[in-house]
Amino acid sequence: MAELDTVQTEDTYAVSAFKGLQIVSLQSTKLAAEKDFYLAVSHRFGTVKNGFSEFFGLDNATTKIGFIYGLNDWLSLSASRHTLLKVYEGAAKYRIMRQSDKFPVELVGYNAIGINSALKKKDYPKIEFTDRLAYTSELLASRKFSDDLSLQFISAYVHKNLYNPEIENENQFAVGAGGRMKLSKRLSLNLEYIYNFDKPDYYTNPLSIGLDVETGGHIFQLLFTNSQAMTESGYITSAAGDWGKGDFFFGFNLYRVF
Amino acid sequence: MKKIVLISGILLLAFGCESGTFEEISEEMPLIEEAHYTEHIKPIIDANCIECHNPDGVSSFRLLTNYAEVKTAVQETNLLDRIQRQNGEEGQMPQTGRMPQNLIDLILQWNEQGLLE
Repeated sequence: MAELDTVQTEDTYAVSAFKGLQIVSLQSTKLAAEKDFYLAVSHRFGTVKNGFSEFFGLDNATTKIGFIYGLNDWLSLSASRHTLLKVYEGAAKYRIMRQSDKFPVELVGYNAIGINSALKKKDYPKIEFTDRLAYTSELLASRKFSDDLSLQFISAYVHKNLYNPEIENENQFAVGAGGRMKLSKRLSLNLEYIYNFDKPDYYTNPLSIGLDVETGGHIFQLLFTNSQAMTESGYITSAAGDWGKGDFFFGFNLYRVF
Repeated sequence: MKKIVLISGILLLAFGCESGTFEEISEEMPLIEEAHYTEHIKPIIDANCIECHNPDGVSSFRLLTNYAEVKTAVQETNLLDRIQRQNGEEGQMPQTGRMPQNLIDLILQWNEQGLLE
């Protein structure tokens, strides 16, 4: 814990607007420190609306396992595997500006490429490798207002090389906001919402609420969301749950730092 | 400067160009006059469902290994509805992703023609 408590004296940068690399499911402006290696495991369970017959969704879990490596203090790379659609995702996260006395916000870019490996050549004979790809580009701007409150603005652009025109668009632009409110030394309440401008009626906009729990080298995030997917593009564009109908998902993110 | 070059590189990689639809990469299926379980439906079920819906699978409570079981699933336990749900939608089957539309259509046709064996 000693290194976490070190007070930075030389610069006037704001430190750690967010404790987790994700606010809830979206990326936060926090990056892995140089040479830090994170193991990330996340679960999203099935919808809670079916109650006890499916044990509030625990019967239908989807999993993401991945790692994040801090190449240096402003660039980290990650790779993950998702059970939903058997997607492999690679991503780069890079800090463009830091919040300081001279600059009001922390600016971070995030680019992810998802590879859908569930599509079979047998089913789609004309498929090519590029058809499996979906791209997400995000610009994140956060401001730490105090030790207790940080807010973040997100703009995201998703491009799908393969799409279903009945229910989705190939290019989608979305904006969103999220925040973190500290409840106690080890607990904070997080919230995020995304508004998708290019979304046909089929899917809804993601709204997620989470609780950060810090335990030594772990960060544990408990959450509820109406978007079950954990890939960046899936989370933003394919939220199928509806909070109003009690149709949402329980899940968690677990980070272990090495 | 190095930082700008690296970020530009990431951004160049990050944008795809052309998009296609699922329909465009699907095979055009010859029209089947009359759909039968053994000839048309069983291969679809075996390729997409049986991995879990078998006696040793995680969904052994709802078997799809033979004609009678599949027929029951269509008539009594909303199989047709589940396979038509979209990716991301609750209860969608198969859980790993929606089947190609032409296979879904064939199962619907089989139902409309009376679930022939």
